[in-house]
Amino acid sequence: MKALVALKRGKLLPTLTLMAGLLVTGMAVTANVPASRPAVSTGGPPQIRRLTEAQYRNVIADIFGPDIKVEGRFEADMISDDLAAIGSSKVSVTAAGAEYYTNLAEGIADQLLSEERRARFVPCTPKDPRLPDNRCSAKFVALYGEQLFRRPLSPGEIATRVSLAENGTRKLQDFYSGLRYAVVSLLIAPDFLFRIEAAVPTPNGAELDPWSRASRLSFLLWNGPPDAALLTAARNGELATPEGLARQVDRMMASPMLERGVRAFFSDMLGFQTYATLAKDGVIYPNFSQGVAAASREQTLRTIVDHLITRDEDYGKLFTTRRVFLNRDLGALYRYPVAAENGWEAVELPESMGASGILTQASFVALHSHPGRSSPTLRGLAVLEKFLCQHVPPPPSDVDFSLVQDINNASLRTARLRLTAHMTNPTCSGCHKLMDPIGFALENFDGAGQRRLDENGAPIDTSGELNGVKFGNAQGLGAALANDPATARCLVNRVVGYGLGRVPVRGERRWVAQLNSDFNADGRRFKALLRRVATSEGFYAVDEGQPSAPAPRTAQTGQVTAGRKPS
Amino acid sequence: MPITGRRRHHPSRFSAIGLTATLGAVTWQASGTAQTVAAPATPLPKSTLAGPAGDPRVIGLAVSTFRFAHNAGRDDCPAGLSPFITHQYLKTLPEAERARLSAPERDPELNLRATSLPDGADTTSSPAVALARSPGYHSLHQVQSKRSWGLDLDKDMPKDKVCPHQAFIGMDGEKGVDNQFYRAMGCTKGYRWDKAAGESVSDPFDNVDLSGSNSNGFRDGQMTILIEISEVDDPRNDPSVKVGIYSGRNPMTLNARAQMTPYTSHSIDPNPRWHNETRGRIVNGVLETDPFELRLKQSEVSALSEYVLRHAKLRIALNGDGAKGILAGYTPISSIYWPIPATYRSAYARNIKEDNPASYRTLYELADGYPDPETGQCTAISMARAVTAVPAFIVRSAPVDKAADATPQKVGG
Repeated sequence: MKALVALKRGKLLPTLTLMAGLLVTGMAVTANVPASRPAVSTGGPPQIRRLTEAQYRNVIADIFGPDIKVEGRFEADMISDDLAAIGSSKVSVTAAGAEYYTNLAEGIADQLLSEERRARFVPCTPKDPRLPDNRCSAKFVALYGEQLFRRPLSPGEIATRVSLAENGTRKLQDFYSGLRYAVVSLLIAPDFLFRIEAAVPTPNGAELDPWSRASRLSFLLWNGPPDAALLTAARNGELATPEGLARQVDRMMASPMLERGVRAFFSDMLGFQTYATLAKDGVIYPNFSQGVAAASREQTLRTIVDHLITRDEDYGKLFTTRRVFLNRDLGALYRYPVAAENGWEAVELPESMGASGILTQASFVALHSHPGRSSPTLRGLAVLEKFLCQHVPPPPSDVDFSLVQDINNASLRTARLRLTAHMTNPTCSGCHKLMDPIGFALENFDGAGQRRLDENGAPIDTSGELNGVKFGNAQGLGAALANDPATARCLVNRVVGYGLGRVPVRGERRWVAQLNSDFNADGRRFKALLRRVATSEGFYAVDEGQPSAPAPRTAQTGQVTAGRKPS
Repeated sequence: MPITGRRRHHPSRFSAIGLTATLGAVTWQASGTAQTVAAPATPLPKSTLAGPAGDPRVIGLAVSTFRFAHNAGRDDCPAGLSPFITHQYLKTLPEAERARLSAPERDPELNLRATSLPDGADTTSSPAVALARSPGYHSLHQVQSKRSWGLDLDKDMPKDKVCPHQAFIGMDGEKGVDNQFYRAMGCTKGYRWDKAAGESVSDPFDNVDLSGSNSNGFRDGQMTILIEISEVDDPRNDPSVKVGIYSGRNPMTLNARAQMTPYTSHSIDPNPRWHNETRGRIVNGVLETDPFELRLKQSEVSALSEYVLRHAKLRIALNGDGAKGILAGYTPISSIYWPIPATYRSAYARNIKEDNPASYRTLYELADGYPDPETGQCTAISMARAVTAVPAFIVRSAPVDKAADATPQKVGG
């Protein structure tokens, strides 16, 4: 099912020559972001990326409207190198998946061509609804085929669908029944289900063709397909010029759709796919309901959008802010009054409540806990992996966790005491010393995210350490994380990986380093980072000959990334 | 004085683990070798969650149970539960007809005849007529026990507002407790908490599992009751606090145990008709209010859409997890009885064989408050509700225009 990528193999240019070429062509960056010195990037291999479930739904909603229902099963998304966006480059469609997508396609086709809706979607009227009308079929296929494939269809691709429609019409004696086959054919085509990137040669090597540029840009900023304006810009060559590209980027970043794209990115980065399997012990945490779980996810995404997009504040403050969004479900969890009967309100929590940005929100502390108890280890691991891009190997298969799991131990009443005892095992201490000192700072929040003053009647020691910086509580951890240079560097890497659909290759390291430098110089404004990535030539550069990335860490969505779950 | 009164659990309710803990180490013979297993460890104390945000001088509560404060003691009903109306009717028939109508397949005919007047009207809709046509019509079996939950209501009532009656001794030993509704209805199935008699709970304060149909009005927001205690300087002892009891307009939120989720925010219904305010005092953690007139939204089967209590008093023990106690007062008998035939209950009463004329008679026989100025017949009856509540945040909505609400606007020209 994978298509061939059209790429003329060119010579690998010396890095210095490429740098000179880029300096000559220049990259004028407009709007509020000062122009930076052009970064060096050889580019990497173009990707073939399967649409995620969210992207599939967004595509259908954006093209046909939100009233078109998408009902059915999807192939599971895969996480690779900590992102489902990278995993999407490593998956195909199974035999079962082909059935799922066919069912989805048929359901969508039935709605589009129903008697109530066909006038809205079919741009022409057949001369006789009982007979084929190839002119009308071709018009329909060309119109929606371009939007679905994210590029114009070739005459042959149009003719194939017109032929399907004609045959169907003759057999069923109904034009719309025949056209249905054309619609299904478009929706199960690899060119729809996969974002197939194509490259064209340039004097300096290669770059994505205009349609692939448009697609990569729209999925980065909007997590959805290029709209009509972006497709037009691709068609008339506007995306090939720095000014034209910047114009489109600025238009897209000013759109309300940017929020959808930002939510999608951070949902991926924070591993919110695991919400699908989040469960809490109803006896230990009876107040952690499904409503609370759903609200906790939304709370963090609202915090991120409000902080990074609406207010355009420093990324580091995301780990220290006391400004949170509450609805009544979360108000009960926080034990905080919420005036709004429906919906959300923003509040500034008092310092005494110990809030420290998204680290102390339920989406972090509850998601990275066990069903019936907190886990400094899981939380420390999440900080390292999600925010610092550091990896810790999984525990050995023969580790005895019974001491850590014994929450009824009268002499080891707190998680810290149990883990400290566990760490006397030298097999365990190496990794736990990396993770636990981070997670201890969050122990004032139990496994459901509720703030607690003690654990089983024993005082809680929240002192800890991150990369040599000691702190006494969650706010200290938040500050340490905000001030760690690796935090910004990790975000930049995540954005690049998310946009490219792969880990940056060796030839892109200087470009990524430049992005990181610019991000810090811009006051760690996320919008500025997005704009720099979206307008940089490095984002569209292609070189199939670059060494591939190290073996990925992969997992199906919803499962543990690798090996056994630590304590 | 704190309200107590939880029934002792039946011994069969001790769990195996609890029993083992009580007995200590267990020794048994296995394969000829005696083995001793150490007793399970004493459970550790629960973790202390952080206290709530909000005004420290305000205690907010959302009521989670609101049952009749009726206990099911062994000495309640020495003559047994009140018989069905069909049993009473059969006693009036000749033997042969009694035998014929007693057959199970005759049940619909028996129900119809037992609850019908000769002219076809049903006894539920016309209880006075039914009583007049049957001189000596029986009353319900009345509660005979000496003790009851409730409060001494008439100690500060004008003498001309009460009728003579026998008082109870409270479950905590207080004398002069008035709960005539319990005396009247406490031996009728459906008005006592007795799992042995097939009721859903055995304790009026039982706060488990609000997912059943009895909690519909609470779950859908039609019967949300909020209590706000403000101007609190000391939650253990405060000589003067303000107490508000309000109808809320949000449904309750249930947690995984089908109990009310604590610390949920609730909006007060903006209609001031259902705002009831009075003063009170807290002594050793127990709040007791001055008398006040109470009116709340109500959503119960065959009940008026308003719950009315005259000369109401609230006495609840405050603890960290909420509150528990009694709300008592005088309910107009008309508001208890007439919604029954006004709803579908006439037909329902027929099917479940309620003896409504007997209820009607008994309620007026035992009525102890607010006599009719012309006839002297007391028109209201003392009653008590068992109240438990969880902590809540109480939010005020924009108030309804009280004048506009009280005065119907003239329609048309």
